[in-house]
Parts: sequence; C-alpha cells; structure tokens
Amino acid sequence: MARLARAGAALATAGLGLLGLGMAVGNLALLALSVFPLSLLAYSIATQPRGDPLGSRQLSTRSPRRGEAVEMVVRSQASEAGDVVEVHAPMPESTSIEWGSNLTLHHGPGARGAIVRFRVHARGAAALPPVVAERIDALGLLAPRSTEIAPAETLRVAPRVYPSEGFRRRGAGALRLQQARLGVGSADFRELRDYAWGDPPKSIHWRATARRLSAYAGRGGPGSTPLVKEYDKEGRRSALVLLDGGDALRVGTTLETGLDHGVEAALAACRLLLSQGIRVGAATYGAKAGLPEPPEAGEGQMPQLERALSPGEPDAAATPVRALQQLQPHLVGSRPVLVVVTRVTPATAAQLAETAGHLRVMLREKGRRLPLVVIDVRALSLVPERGEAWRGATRLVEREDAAAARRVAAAGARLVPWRPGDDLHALLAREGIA
Amino acid sequence: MSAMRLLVRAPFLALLALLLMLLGLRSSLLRLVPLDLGAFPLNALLFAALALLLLPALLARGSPLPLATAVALPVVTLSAYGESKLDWLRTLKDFGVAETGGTSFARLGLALAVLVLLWALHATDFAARLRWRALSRGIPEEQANGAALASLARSGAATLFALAVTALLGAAVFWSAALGDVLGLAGLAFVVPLAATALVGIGGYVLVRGARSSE
Repeated sequence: MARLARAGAALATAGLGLLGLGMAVGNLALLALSVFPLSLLAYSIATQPRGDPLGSRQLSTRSPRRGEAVEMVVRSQASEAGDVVEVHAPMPESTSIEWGSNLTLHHGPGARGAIVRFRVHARGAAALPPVVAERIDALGLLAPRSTEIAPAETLRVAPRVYPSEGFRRRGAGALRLQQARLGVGSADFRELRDYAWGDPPKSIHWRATARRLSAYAGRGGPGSTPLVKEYDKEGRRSALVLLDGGDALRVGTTLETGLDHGVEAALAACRLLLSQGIRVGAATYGAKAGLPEPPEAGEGQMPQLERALSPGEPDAAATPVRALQQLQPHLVGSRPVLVVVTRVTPATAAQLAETAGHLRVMLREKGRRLPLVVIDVRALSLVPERGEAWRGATRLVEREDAAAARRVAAAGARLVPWRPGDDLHALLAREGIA
Repeated sequence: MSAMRLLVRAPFLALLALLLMLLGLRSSLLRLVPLDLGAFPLNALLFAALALLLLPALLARGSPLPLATAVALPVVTLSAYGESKLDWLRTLKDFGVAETGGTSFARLGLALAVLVLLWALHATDFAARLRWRALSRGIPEEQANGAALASLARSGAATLFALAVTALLGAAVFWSAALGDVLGLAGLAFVVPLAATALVGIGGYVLVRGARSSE
C-alpha cells in the first residue's frame, strides 16, 4: 500500500480541507480550488511504477585475504519511465572503498551497474548486507519503498600474506643449499620436491619425474627438473609460534587492529621458518581459537598453522603456559625455539616472564639466554592521534611498555620490536630468525 | 546544503508572500478592519508579517510544503469567505461582509496561482534535495542531475494534469451552480454543485483504491 510522505500528507490535508470547508459553507471557489491538490495526489498515486526493481550482485572473490582488493558489481533494472530508484549495497564497517561507488541512481527504464573496489581490513567473516533498491516517488508525495534485490553475502577473510619475494631473492643461495638438506634421513616421508644441487641421485623419484615430464609433453621449463623424495631428517630444529589474542593487541581502528597485524606477523614467521626446513607448531593464547598445532615440517603445514593462529573472542583463561603444556608431549627430545607474537605491556610482561620460567624448566636451561623470541607488535601507532592530550597519554603508555620490555628481556627473552607496516621479513632476517 | 536550500526556496517564498498579500487584500473581511491595509506602509507590514510566517518553511529540513501550506491555506480560505452561500453562523450578513456579486474570478485565479506556486516550490525543492542527497552520498553527478531532471519533468506533467482537471471540474462546479439557479432550486441551489463535488470525491477515491489494489 502506498504511504504518503509529509509533503503528500500536507497536500491531502490542503485538498480535503478546501473541499470540506467549501461544502460546509457553500463556497464554489473553495470547491474548485480543492481539485488542484487532490488531482496532484491522484496523479502521483495513479502513475507510480508497478512491480519491484530487479538486481544482482557479483563479487570477484568470497574468500579474500585481509587488505586484498575485492571488486563488487551491482546490476539493477528499473522498469518504467519516471521511475527513480536508488540502489545501495551497504558495506560492513571493516571495509574501505578504494574506487567506485556502492550506490547508483536510476531514472527511467533500463539497466544500470555500479562497480566498487573495496578492501576488507578485518579477518574472519565479513557480512555484506543485502542490496537494497529504494524506489523514490519522483513527485516526492509518496514515502520511498525499499526492496531487497540481492541477498546478503559473507566474505571469509583470511589473514594477509606478506610478500616474500624480496626475502627469497636475498636468501636464494642459502635456501638452495638448505633444500639439499644434510643430516640422517628418517623413514618419515615428507614431500616430493624439485631437485636441488647436492641431492643424492638415488633420492630422485623417477616415476613421479616421468609422470610430470609426460604431463608437460617434454616441453622443458620448470617441469623438466627431476623430483626428489624428501624424508624428515633426524634432529631437525623445531619452533613454536605463540600468538597473543588477548586485549593487548586489540587496539587500533575498525579498519586496522594490532591483532590482525599480529596474526599476519605470526603467519609470516611460520612461513619463513618452514622455508628453512624447521618443524613449526603454533598456538593462540588469550583468546578462543583452534587447537594448538604440534610442530611439523613442510609447506603442507601452513593450513593447520593458519587454523591454530585464528583468534576469536578474548579468553583470559587461555594462557601461554597452558598452550606450552598442551604442546609439551610433542617436544620431547627437541629444543624448540619459542616465538611469541604480542604487544609488550606491563600485563603481558608478567605472562611472558612466567612463560620464560616455564620454558627454562622444560628445557633445563641454566644459561641466561633462552630460545625465546618476542615479536613486539607496536600496535599503539595504529590509533589515530586525537590532539595534545592523546599524544601525552601515548607517551606515558610507551614509557610503561618500555619498562615492561626491559623486564621481559631480563627474563631471558630476545625482543624484536616491529611496527606494523615495516618490512617484517627484513627485520626477521636482520635478527637472524629467517 | 543549507545555502542551496535557501537559494532554491527564497524566491518562491518571497513570491508566495506577495501573492498571499494581494489575495488577503481582496478579502471582504477587511471591511471589519478599521485601517486601510492596502496603503503603504501597512501593506509592506502585511508582506513582512507573511514573510515572517513563511520563515519556518524556508528553514525546514524536509519539504517546505507542509509549513508553507499551513500559512497559505487560511489566507486562501479567508479571502474567499465572503462568497459563501451558506451562512450558518449568520456572520456574513450581520457584519456586512457578504459578497453578493458571485465568484470573483480574478481572486480565484490568484488563489489558484498560490496553489500552483506552493506546488512549484515543493517540486523544485524536492528535485534539488534529491540531487544534493545523491551527490553527498557519492553518486556520480550525471546520475544525480538525471534524477533531478526526471523529477522536475514528472512534476511538470503532474502540474499540467492537475490544472486541466481543475479547469474541467471547476467549470463543471460553476456551470452546475448556474444550472441550479436557472432551475429555481432556491434554497436547494447548492445541491447540484455539492453533488458534482461528491462525484469528484468519489472519482478520486476510486482512483486511489484502484492504484492500491494493483500494487
């Protein structure tokens, strides 16, 4: 049913008022005048477009990485002349429009399209509300009518992958030597990989090589390299990456939080360690998350590590020591390097000191230094400045954090301060981690 | 937005105040006022008072039509009050404000001009607000301008339709009243225009109902 807008109600009141008064006092002029507003209203109602506008939405991807550009095309079709339709594809708070518009305005029949390129700045599920077409009465007398022309969609946003090309270039020689790993091979098959200089000829998997060559039809190129059977080596180094999903990293804006950068830093560390043949395990503390992932080697470990490093709601009961205890059975006989990604604050410093103590007992370490690296995500810089008072408060917090960092270092950890946006790979390489 | 709103509305409202002043000065009710409101500076004061009353319409956030109508409608009604045929309260004859010469078509034209001006104010303001809202939300200027022009074109078509219907039905009302006089219906002379008006009302109702049922 058509609802009148305020202007329509005013016009109806004027027409009916003139009509009623004209009839009451027998005034022909008022009766004649009443026809004008009432016929305007009748025209508006009688000529309003019938049927709902049609539309659809297309997304370039439904599972982007954080910060990756997503293109959305919204198509809509108005049916009749004089039909003014505003099509709106609302965006969630965690997105920023890079180019284009999520709105379009029709007038008259025909199809229209709106293209928008946006970026999602938060991990997890990003709900895109339904696309709404609002039919606006071109005379402004009837209230607008809204209809959904495309259903709601959900984007599954994965953490960002830091580009590692620069790192690969810098460490290419070392990596190649690393590929042909020395050491006593175990009976645990790990993966098939391309032949690298130093691999013994008997490790070549001839059948797999022949299969790949026939698939490439002998054209040469990257597929012409022999494939080599890779077995896990005895005495391989292990590393555990622990991510703090608690309140310390939950600072920033709706578009950028320290936690998102923390997740990406943890995953980048995992990827670099795996590329060096190190067995990598991971766990999240301070938040609800997937089960801790015991250390394993190979690129195939990455999906499990991503699951283990996906913090949800904060959970104060999940401490780093508890995560270490859960993984302890998998660390028997090894001496793992522990990489903790957090923001060092007075509160987290106490946790880190306790973790260092637990690690010291677990490894029976008597020396001052522990195999404990803390990547300190300086997330406070993500919060936009709000004047002089804010800057003063930030300086105070930074001073407290610096004191906390000294306490963590005194407990035997090596601190690696990292400001989001800086080259993490270069930093890890400089610190000797990558 | 506010500057654009003022620029769009101010000329219409100034003209409206002028027309309302002219209409008000043609009312027979002015015989009750011991002053000559048509003379300077009282007419200027009347204009200023009407402009002041229309000020809320100038500053309204939404459509200015409701507030402008609230000022214009009483003036239109009072200006034509002396022509009324049914003197229920016996005020017209007792105070000597009854007009026996029948309908003043000049005044009727002026009153119709007031209504058309009210509508033009709303139509222009609505198109401008539609355009501004679209631009402020990031819609391309071409689309915003197109929608505003489409709105203005449709308002123009509606004005022509409403004027044609008003002329047609107005003529029917006056002709039927004259017919009632010719037929010597005396006290019932108003029955014919009343019946004609009722027919207009019924026609409008059927039109509205038909529009709703087809949704």
